[in-house]
Amino acid sequence: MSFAIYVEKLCKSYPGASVPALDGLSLSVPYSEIFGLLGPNGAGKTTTIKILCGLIPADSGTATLFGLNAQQNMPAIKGKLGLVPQHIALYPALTGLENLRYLGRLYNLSETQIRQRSKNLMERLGLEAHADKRVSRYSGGMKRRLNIIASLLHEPELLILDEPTASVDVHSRALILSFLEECRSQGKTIVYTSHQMEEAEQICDTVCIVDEGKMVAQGSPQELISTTSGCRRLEDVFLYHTGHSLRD
Amino acid sequence: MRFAKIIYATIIKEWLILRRDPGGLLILLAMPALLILIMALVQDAPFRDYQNLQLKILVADEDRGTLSEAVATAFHKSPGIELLDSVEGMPLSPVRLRQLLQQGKYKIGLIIPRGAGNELANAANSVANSLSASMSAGKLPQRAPRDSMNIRLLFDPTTRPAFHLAIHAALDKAVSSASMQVLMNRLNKLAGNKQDTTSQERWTAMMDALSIRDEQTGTSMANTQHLNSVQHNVPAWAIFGMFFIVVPLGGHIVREREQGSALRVSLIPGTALGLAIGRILANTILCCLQFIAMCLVGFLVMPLVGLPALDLGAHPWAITPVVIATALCATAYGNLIGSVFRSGIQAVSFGAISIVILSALGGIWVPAEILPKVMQGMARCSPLHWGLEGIQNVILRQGSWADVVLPTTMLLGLSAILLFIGFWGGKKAEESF
Ligand SMILES: Nc1ncnc2c1ncn2[C@@H]1O[C@H](COP(=O)(O)OP(=O)(O)OP(=O)(O)O)[C@@H](O)[C@H]1O
Ligand SMILES: [Mg+2]
Repeated sequence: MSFAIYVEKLCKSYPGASVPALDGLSLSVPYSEIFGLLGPNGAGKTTTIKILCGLIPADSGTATLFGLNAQQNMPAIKGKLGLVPQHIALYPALTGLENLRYLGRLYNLSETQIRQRSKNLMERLGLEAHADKRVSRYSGGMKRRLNIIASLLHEPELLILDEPTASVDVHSRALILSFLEECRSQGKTIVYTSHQMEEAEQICDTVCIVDEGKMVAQGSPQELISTTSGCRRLEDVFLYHTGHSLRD
Repeated sequence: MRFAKIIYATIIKEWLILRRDPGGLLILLAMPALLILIMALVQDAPFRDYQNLQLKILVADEDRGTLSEAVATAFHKSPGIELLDSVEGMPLSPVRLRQLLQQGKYKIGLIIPRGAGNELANAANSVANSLSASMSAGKLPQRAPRDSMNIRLLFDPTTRPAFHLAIHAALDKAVSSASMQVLMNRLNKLAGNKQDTTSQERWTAMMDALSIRDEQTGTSMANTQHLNSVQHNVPAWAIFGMFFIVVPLGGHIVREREQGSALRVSLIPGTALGLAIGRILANTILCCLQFIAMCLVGFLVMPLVGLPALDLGAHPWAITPVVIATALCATAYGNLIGSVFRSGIQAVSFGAISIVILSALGGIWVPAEILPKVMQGMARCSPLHWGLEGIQNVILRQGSWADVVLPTTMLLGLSAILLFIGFWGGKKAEESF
């Protein structure tokens, strides 16, 4: 079986850090699935994403996307990849539409393409009324939604989202999750991280639980719940594997 | 095609961001315009000191002899100077003169003590005697010189040293020409000639022929008028203002990295060079427009506040390469500042302070020539120095295209270094992730 993402024995230590951020992490993401990357704070989720997007090199191990090595083929991979960073990566002084127009031009889309895609995506995520408002005046939830749209303009095959539902209200969260499901139905592969176990249980086809830079469990939520003794929800599985102690 | 599109899109984006940053616009337009106006007005007075200032010199003349006359004639020729030997209808005594100076009502006083003319005559006699000794002519009465008979020149302590020098020199000349005259008379007397006015006139004419006349080195004529505070301050503070692009630009670059928008665009393949060029181009054009705006202040606003209008010299277009190179250098510096600092506060405060230092070094505040030697060497590292030098070559020294080659080349070289460090040594977008 071929995978959209295949990661093998990935190791990464930041300079000056006493413990490695990634300590032989392996995982595989099937095509056209929603894949949940779960783990406590500091587990190494963001580090994994940085390596997948070619932003930092791994110390050892391999990361393969679409069968291409992430270190060597980044330009080819970047075009098929959409990253939604943990922070709101937009220009606050520009309006929502101006942000999208600028990014669309950088992606070499035609003005018509930019207009159509922006309109569709903004409608889908409930921002059509705010297209001409400056992003600095958006609410937190609106910014999160635009942050996602901005990563989708070039219609990537793979969407990687780092905590897309952090600090949003129930309505925005539901909208974002249903949108991700819709993306999956269009054939996109989605990797996303979250601290919301319920949410992951609800929409993920496969989840991977990471702790201290290592994969501790991978499988479909139902599979993990039924194979781990005494667990009724994904949260139980998570606590079973990662323990109850506080992380930093 | 795609490359041009990236550059175009980036220019539009940079301008939109700047347009919506009122603080940045204030720094770029209002600050230099105000600086130009205020500095030109403040410095206008000292520039005038040497030009058309009406100056009153108090004279307490206790001698009333040939020397007093000579001094009066000497200063009579300088249009800006008026000699006053009485104030409020009362002839001046040395005591009263000192009082008036101390009160600060007048700037300069001259005391000619009783016997000063005689002293001069005595000095002339001794010179004539020693000359005649060698020519075996007769002898004139002579005694030992008395120091107390010197003319006293008094200044209000607030007058500038350069001013002292000028007045002192003028007085010196008056005294020496008077002594020459006396000396001539004595020599005539010794030679047995009768008093002869034509030979005296010839003397005066000869002395005048020997005097020094001021001339500018520029090729064009009426350029004494160029030495005014507008000609100095408009280019100086316009350049200073251009470099203040570091504040908004450095701030924006740090913010884009902090917010992650820099990361987002770095994930778009094949954009790095276009983004860099777009940013540099947008800000360079902006700096050029800013310079034009400051020149307009020089042309249009200066006359409204009673100052002469800016005059760009005989070859105004020759400043174009200097202005463009200065704008590029300012942008490159802003880019560097934004790239190496982690926080916006650090970038902005370092940027602003460093510009003030570089401008002081570069001769924006005071001409670089009056700085110590070491500092003058350091001035050559300041891009503001080269910008000012290039523009002054054209508008003050009346130079043309050939005179801006060196400053322009230096600015381009500095820009290349700054750009190199900024793009290759600066922080990377992914550091914000
Ligand atoms: N730039 C960095 N320099 C040094 N150490 C870092 C850096 N970034 C992350 N780390 C460390 O690496 C480890 C993994 O961090 P990472 O950001 O990948 O965790 P995470 O799973 O994304 O956590 P969270 O859920 O809190 O976002 C942590 O111990 C963190 O302190
Ligand atoms: Mg993280």
